[in-house]
Amino acid sequence: MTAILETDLGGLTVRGPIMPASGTFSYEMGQLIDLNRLAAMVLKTTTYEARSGNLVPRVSEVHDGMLNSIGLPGGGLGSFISDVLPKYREYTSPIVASVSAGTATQFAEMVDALTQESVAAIELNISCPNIEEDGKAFAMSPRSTERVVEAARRASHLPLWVKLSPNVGDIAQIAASAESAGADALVVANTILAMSIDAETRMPSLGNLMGGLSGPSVKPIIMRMVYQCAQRVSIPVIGCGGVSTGIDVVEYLLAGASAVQVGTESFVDPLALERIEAEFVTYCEEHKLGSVTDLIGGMDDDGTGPNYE
Amino acid sequence: MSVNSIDSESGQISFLYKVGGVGTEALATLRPGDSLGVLGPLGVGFTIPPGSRNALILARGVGLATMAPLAAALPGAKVELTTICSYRDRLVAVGDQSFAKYGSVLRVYDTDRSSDPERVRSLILDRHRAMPFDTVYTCGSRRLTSLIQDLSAQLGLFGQVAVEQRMACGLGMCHACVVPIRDQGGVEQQVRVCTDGPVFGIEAIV
Repeated sequence: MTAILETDLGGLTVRGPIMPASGTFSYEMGQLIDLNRLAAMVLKTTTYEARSGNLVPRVSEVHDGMLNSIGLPGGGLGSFISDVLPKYREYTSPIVASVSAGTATQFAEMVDALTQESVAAIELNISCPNIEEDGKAFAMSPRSTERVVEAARRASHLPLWVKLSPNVGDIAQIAASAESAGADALVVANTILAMSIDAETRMPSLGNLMGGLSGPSVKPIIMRMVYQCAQRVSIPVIGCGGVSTGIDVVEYLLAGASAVQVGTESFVDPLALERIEAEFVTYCEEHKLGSVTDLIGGMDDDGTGPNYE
Repeated sequence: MSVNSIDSESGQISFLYKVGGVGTEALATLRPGDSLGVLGPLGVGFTIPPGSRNALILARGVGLATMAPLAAALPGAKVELTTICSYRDRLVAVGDQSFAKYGSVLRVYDTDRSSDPERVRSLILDRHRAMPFDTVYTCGSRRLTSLIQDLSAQLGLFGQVAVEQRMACGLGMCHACVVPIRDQGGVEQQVRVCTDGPVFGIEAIV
């Protein structure tokens, strides 16, 4: 039996629950995998103005993960629309544009400019830890989250996914703010603000001193956040944190996610998106699942579920 | 880490790497017969310009490994080769024997100060006067790269340099491995070593 993999992500139904995370995917991956088979193409965040990015080294390996401080380099909104977006129109998978800006007004302007036929949804990256000093971001307060999401909401009818920051005390509160301001789905979450130091050189591992931790080491933390957010809001939650196998996808869905994004694992195994999907399909077959939706929020937290023995 | 030799007849390639982290430590545990997944070839390699007749390779330390496959390709393109190998001291001067098969080899060291850029400059200019170079390649040292940039501009040589930077994806997606280069209009741009390089025109390096 083949399970139905389709899942609804706030007004956008995608063909499966596995997609790339912003910043870890671009059309270059098409040399290795069939981009037309992706649930969605979540593009690298484009910023309002051109940015050159942060000092090197921009990445550093740590136990079961990596630190990055890339700093959202790119040509800005204009060059994104004229040079980047057309490269993805050649593929049939839905395009999810990711945007970041310094003010709510700029966010709204970007969302408005990207509300066009070729864009299926817009991810509001209000949580990149590598832009402001000390990792500050809009997603660190309910008020500023609300301001940005409200402004973006007024600017577009497209599904708006809001990417939250894990660098907060009460992520469910931020999730509720994003929902009430008009978000269609939440992406939980961006990277965890972190740092590491080389004991030999006594230098920070990253040129920017601090950066974002990602990879398998963050999975239990982000899993907890996905659970808390899914408990609090009624819009879909997309899990993003350390997914490296099909079983990780199952776990995130059980915690309440409607889909997952895969990031760091694509750097370890460039074929990861295809492999993880194959592993996930195998799980669904072995467990005779009719639909992915049977898993969403299906954690048996009181020992009364179908698999309790 | 770098490709150190390519043997298309036997279908074998070899790599030279220095153990410096989790990845290279894991590589060092491999035994003959083990299998290893490799993604490639990626990026932009060296160019041997048509009409090139006399080339200089100037490389330092581990940068020499990068140059070995290029040196091996030059005789087939009918290019004479002189290699200058720069080392910290005589003890680490290993692994450059292959260059002697393809041309003449000179070694310079920090210990006797023969590796000072100004002395290397004189060495190159002496050779150039005897038999002019038209092509020059370098890898492994910032100071030697500056020297080669200077000399290639002065003497009108075709020059290339291989650079390295810490990478994540290797495919041009993540923008981790950037270096600044000057484009043809003289404007500084951040480019990706994995996709736009690792070999760049010597004139473009900042």
